Amino acid sequence: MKWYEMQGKNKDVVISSRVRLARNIEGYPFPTRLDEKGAQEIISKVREAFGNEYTYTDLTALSPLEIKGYIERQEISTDMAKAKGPHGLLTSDKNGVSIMVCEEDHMRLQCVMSGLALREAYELVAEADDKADSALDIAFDEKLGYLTHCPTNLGTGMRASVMVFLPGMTMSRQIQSLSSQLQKLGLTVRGMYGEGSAADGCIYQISNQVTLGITEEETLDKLSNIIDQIVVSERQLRESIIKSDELCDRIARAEGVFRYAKMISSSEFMKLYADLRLGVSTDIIRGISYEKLDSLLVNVMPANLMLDSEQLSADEKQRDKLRAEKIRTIIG
Amino acid sequence: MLCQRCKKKEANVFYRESINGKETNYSVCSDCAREMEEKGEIKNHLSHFESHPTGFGDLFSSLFGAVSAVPGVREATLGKRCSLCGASYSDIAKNGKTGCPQCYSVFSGELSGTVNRIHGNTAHRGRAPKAWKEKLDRTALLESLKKELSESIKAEEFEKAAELRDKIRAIEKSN
Repeated sequence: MKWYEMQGKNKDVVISSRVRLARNIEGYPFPTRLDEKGAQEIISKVREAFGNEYTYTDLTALSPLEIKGYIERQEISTDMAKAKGPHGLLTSDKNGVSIMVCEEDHMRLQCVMSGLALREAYELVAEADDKADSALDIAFDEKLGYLTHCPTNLGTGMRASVMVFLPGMTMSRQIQSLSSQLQKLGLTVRGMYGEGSAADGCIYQISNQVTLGITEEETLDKLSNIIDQIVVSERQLRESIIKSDELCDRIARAEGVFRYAKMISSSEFMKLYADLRLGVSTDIIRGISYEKLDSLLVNVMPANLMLDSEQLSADEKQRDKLRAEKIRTIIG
Repeated sequence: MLCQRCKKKEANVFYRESINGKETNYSVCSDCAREMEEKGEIKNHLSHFESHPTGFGDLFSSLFGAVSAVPGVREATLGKRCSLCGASYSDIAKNGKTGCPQCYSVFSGELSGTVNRIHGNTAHRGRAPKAWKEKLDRTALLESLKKELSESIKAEEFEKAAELRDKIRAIEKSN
């Protein structure tokens, strides 16, 4: 099952939790300096280490549209899509752990879970890491920790991030100050789809910045504690903003558009999505589950719409039509 | 190694040129390298390296010390390449990323400032590969025993100190 089909904790504020570990194999250049033969060797070593429980997808054999679908579902990074040499993705249906092979590091092990579940995600990804460790010679240094392509990942090689929905903080213009406070704690806030992307739909990613000199547990505790505090203050802010008749009207209109409109562009979707999600989390809108809301986030993106409907050459106008239909089907 | 051109000074610039598959290698001293470049015998040489301070790009420009701006480092780093991946410090500074795990030991001097600027002056704590775990645990144990030893000496608890000393010796011996 995918994260967006599962239930989770603190779903009114936390959409998902993700933990990622960067690992490399001793004796091989990092993917940007690796020749085709070396990359193939890495791929076969990693596949062997993870065994039959994991399925390998050769990403170089997929169409650009299919790759875009993987990115929209957040199964691979945009960097992975740009990789030039052989690269692929190992996935397991059993535990939701996936491994990007030959992205910027030889391995990027990751696990995404619904709601606030950093510890649980870490445990699953650590289990996969043990598997890699027992079969492969992992690059490590006593002082620098796990050796990674980018020095910003040295140490634990771990990036823990939480996707949060913050309409209260956004509307009361507190994101800027939140961001500067988090920075002081070695954490960072970014838009929904990672580095440099705009915070569409009041959705943000909060993650750890520092990876050296702090243990995995300490990082997870710090991030979880901060998220708990954000959850509390976001809920309070929502209480006060939903007293506004204008906002309640906007929420009801968003539901109306989603239920009855015939064409919805992706920018209109993102704007109205925030209102819909706020409506559900404050009980103004009933009968739409968080799983449905999460599944909307993934399934109405352009590539997934086209792949799902098998209209691979749909233009923008056709996609807007497909999007409206898809939204109706999902929210029921 | 002596400069292959003047045969007097130590060679500290290693230059590899590959044109249509034909590879030429020079091992020269920095004076000869400069002269060769002026005469057009080699292209994009020092100017190529020196252009990096401005061309390092976005985020990492401030994190990586410019090769030519660090006195003493420049000459040494110009010729040095990682034997596993072939990266020079210039290659690493250009995009802010290393070429392979070994780069961290080959360029440890050059990279230490960068790592400090990103993470602070600190050392790894946390998970480790199995092969390392035992060693790290032993180091941590030794450190705490040594601390205890110096404390017991200060407190004039010599019997305890002797016990601790024997323990430390035993662990060090087993290393």
